[in-house]
Amino acid sequence: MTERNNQPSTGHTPGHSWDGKLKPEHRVLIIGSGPTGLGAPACG
Amino acid sequence: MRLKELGHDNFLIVDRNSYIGGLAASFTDEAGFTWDIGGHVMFSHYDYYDKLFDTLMGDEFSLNDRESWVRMFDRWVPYPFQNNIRYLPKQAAYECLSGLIKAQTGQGKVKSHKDATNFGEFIDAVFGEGIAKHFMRPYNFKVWAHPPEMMNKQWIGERVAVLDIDRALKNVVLESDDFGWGPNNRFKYPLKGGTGEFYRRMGESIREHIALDRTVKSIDAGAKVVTFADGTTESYDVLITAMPLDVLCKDILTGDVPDTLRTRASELRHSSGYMIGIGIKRPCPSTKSWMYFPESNCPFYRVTYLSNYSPYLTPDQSGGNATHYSLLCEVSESEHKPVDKDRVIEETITGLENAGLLEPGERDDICDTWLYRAEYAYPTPAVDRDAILSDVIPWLEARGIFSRGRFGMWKYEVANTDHTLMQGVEAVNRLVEGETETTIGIVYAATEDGREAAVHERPAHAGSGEKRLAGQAVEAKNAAAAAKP
Repeated sequence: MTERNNQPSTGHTPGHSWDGKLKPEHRVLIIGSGPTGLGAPACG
Repeated sequence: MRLKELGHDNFLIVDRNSYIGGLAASFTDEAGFTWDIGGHVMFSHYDYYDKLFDTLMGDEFSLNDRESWVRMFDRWVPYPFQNNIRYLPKQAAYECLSGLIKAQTGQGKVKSHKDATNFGEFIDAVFGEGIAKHFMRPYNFKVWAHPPEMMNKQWIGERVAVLDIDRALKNVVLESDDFGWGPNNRFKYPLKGGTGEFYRRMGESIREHIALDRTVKSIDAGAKVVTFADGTTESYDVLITAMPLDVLCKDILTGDVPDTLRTRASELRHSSGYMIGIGIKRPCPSTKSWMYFPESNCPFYRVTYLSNYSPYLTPDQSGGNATHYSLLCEVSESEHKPVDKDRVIEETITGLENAGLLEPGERDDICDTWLYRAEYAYPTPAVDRDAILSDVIPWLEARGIFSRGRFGMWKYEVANTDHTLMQGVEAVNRLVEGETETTIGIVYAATEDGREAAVHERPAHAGSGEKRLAGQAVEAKNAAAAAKP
């Protein structure tokens, strides 16, 4: 089981210029599952 | 993981659950049985996925021959059903052949599958009345919990083996077997921990980037801030989300969101699913992988002999399943097909008896039951789905929100585990390297054997600036037509 890692907010301020290409300063947030608890893959 | 591979470390993955994997997670219960959320096998279309599996799993997997069957008329018919009509009672076999000939010679209800405007008409046009009556309509309603007339026909390609008259006649008259499985049709499965072990290990490899038990409460798309149920926030420049697209638009997005967008997203349809695990204290009586059940004498549409996938999924950890075996049963649910949660386990056990999977008296040897309900189980490929996606996805992407995954993109035809993983990989490739995403635009052509049918096209509707590209394609076609004398 992956350990819980409730990192506090990074304090990062979004709003870097965005031309559709990711740069090192860009913060990416990935939501695996939202309020339903479901998301990510399934089936096979 | 792909971000890290490409040298981008500025990312965080959040999940409401205390584990990763979502619908692909596995659970080992107190009785010692391991369960998946429905039938999962590793059947990949992608080198990237295969290599990742090899890297993370090494030699800790089993290799299984696929052996799938259909239960009907109190007998086992090899899958795919439509290629093995000869196994049916003669009257039913005649009805299937007669309907097929009428359908494919233009005497059926729908003249051609090209004329079909929905999945129901597609069934009539391709298979005819007999196969529709005996298998396609009852089975598909049990799976989808929606009438086939509500569904589109675009998802069908690889999922349903279509059939031509000559092949059908040959199989019946010459009594040919036409199995969709065999020695060359093998699938991998993690040796221990169920299918979810693959995703658990994936999480371990990037654990410093994962925050669990964090429930998203709202997303301000303008300010680019996510607020969680505990009051904490996270800012972002780019958001990749796998939560159900309708929930995202209806309930989570705040700020300047058009009502029409919320309404459109809420029109997406899905079905729910009950996964019922039955653990039995007996040696496994069968080599089957999974089975399909179109008839009404049981509530489930599919049952998997899960313990056949690995010797380490039952309390008999010594390997070999010498003393226990397990059955994983799947029951769909929707407003069109309600399920009584309090009775579904008992109805499943009775259904296993009716379908010949449990022998008389064998229920006394059931030593474990496991129940999991997935509110979001199947993203219904409804007739209006692609039009909805073409409204919603570009709006989100213009705001740096990339909705991907089984319910993020809502495309069942590209929602297997390998597809879903690659949706994430390709989204990152697009963001970092400017590559065009292909999986979300896969179009599956219908083929006789139902395999190797993928045609990778630029998306006609969802994602990747598709409206512009689709518009260019139409303009080019029109220009070519106009240039002809």
